[in-house]
Amino acid sequence: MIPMQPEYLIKPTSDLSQWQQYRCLPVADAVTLAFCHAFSEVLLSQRQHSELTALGFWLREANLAQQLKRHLPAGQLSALGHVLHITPNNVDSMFAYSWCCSLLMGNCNLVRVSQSSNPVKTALLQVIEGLFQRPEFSAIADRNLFVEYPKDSPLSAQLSCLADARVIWGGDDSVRAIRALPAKPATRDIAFGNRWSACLIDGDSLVADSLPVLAERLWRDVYPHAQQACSSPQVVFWTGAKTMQADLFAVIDQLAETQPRQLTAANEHLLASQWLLANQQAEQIFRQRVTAIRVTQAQTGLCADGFFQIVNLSEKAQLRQYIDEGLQTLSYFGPCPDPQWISSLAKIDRLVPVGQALAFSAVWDGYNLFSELTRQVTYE
Amino acid sequence: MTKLNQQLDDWIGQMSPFGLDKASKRDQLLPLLNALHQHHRAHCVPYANIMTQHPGNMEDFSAIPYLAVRLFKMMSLQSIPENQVFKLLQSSGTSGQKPARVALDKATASRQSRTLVRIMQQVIGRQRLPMLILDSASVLKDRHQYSARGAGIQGLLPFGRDHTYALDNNMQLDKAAIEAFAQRHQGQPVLMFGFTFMAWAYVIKALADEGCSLPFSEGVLIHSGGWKKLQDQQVDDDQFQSLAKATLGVDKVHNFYGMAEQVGSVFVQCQQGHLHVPACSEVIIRDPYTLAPLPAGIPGLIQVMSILPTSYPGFSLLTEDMGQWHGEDDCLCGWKGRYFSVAGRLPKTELRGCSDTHAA
Repeated sequence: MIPMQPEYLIKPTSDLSQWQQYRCLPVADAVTLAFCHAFSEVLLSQRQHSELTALGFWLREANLAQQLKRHLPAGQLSALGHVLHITPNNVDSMFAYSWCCSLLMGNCNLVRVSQSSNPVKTALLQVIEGLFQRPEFSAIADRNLFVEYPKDSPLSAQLSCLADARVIWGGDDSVRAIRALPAKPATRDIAFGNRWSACLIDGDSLVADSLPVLAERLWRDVYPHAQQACSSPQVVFWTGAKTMQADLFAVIDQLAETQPRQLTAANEHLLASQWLLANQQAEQIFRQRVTAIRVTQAQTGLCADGFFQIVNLSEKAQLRQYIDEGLQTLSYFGPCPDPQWISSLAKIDRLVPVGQALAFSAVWDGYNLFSELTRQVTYE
Repeated sequence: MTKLNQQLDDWIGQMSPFGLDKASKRDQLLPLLNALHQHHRAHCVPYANIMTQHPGNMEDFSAIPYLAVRLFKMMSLQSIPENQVFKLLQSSGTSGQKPARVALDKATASRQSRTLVRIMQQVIGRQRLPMLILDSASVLKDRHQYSARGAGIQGLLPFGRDHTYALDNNMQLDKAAIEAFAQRHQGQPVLMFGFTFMAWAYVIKALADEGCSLPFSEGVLIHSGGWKKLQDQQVDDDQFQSLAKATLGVDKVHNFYGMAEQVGSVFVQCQQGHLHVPACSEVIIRDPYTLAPLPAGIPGLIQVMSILPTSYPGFSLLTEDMGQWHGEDDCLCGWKGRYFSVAGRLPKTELRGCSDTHAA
């Protein structure tokens, strides 16, 4: 049987069979660090898409050094091998983070990018292609393939058999579909399934002067990926004084007004608001470019792109009844909730100050990608 | 309840479908729409919940609140008790979507039929003409497809007689049936009805490809169902009209725009090619970004209002269709009211999120 060939999104310097033969690079090799540095510089010089600028910041030397210092396991490490990445459809740059983590660990990577077209993805791939053409990065270009193919293609199964690890972004259904495919006995699956995120605001900590700061940080967590990244809060839990609730969203609205918006957003907001109002005790507290609606039962995944469902809590302890194991990130404004208490409530993975919800870390959804994507060698 | 029904029935009874100018429409229709708003607030709890910030007495058409039309696909909304549901209409659910569910009682259903008759008579005339349906009779038998296409055909059948279907079960021209129909009614005025794309692809184009034309000199083609597929093939209204006239032998072609969520009060194309708002309806075009009402000539989302529905709160709906209005009371065809055109569907919201890898 002749193996199928995917469509290469970046002109490959090696084909699939050659790629399989390449040996891994050392963990945090100099050429990899130089590549990440160059990658960061190009993204930061372009500044076309906020998502890619954020990626550029994340890839700065200082941040990578810190990530490695904080999260790289001690001991003798070597790359895991050949890693298959199944990327999310439209959170256009998220896959770059897990790819870069794998790259840093020295692995050979094959990245299946979704077939939907969007400008951020296209721009990102162009930057990578430009870097791959530089002779000093040929070792990187040889070991990293970017491909696309239809979701029903047998390629997922074929590639699964080659992989030492599968990094699977996607909803629960996608994750199940990929994990159902046979792989090597020791293949590791790093799966990012359906999650949702929330913000916890302490109204008593909010004064008029801090309103613009909170608004800017909350919007920073929401605007990239049109609020549809798993880590972007769609629900706001609010404790303490409620007097400045509407004011906060009015300030966010001013920030939103300066940004491009989707043609469908206003209609989607109308629909979601009316559905919530019809089915529960809800109250619209702000509605222009952004929508804020007070609800008694939040409905995650209902609407995004500047749509906030607010749940008022009389005390923090009430959080217990609203959060479930799907909660990934809780960002907070005001005093940091006790992490031990929070993690006793649900399978929550991240507790970060508001404004940091999208800040990627090598530890994500409870996985340490550096240790998941390396082999630890023990010596006696 | 019965009082409002009576009031609406009386109004429809005396209505001149395209004879109401702007000032009279405001005087007569606005109080009825306000009454409908109060009626549905009183009889449909979810509607009342949505409208807590709209106590009523709107002084302008553009101030009448509206429901997002897709809400009827997400939940059941009705203003009558279950035992008064006479008929459940289902909209054509586009792929992967649940169809809308529209509950009709006898009063609303009969008001819809009577209104459709009043409006359609303006283009078809009062006489029941021999009728050629540019579709397959199997559509009416197939229970799964019945909802959208079948209901559309069913609604138009009363306007004709000697109902004949131009396509066989395989969507091929049924030449024997067409020839027999032609022999029976050659040279006489006839009525034809079809769905825009199917009429074009399976009948008009099929006849043209075979170099055939039907032996009628007078007659009217009524068609509906949207232009999307024809736009993809770059067929515009002018091309559609001229080839339809050449192959079918009709001298008049009228498109109409309507939806399952507002059956009856359809928007019919006049001789100038414009869709017209009938006396019992109003159309507002809204900015898709701000939902503010737009002046003539600027494309936006189409909001449709109709005084017909009392059994479900669908008298004012924001559709997901884009269009623009062109003028009011001054169309060269002589009909009063606003006239407009439909540009197509609002594009589907982009799927964005970590949660749909495989869907891509």
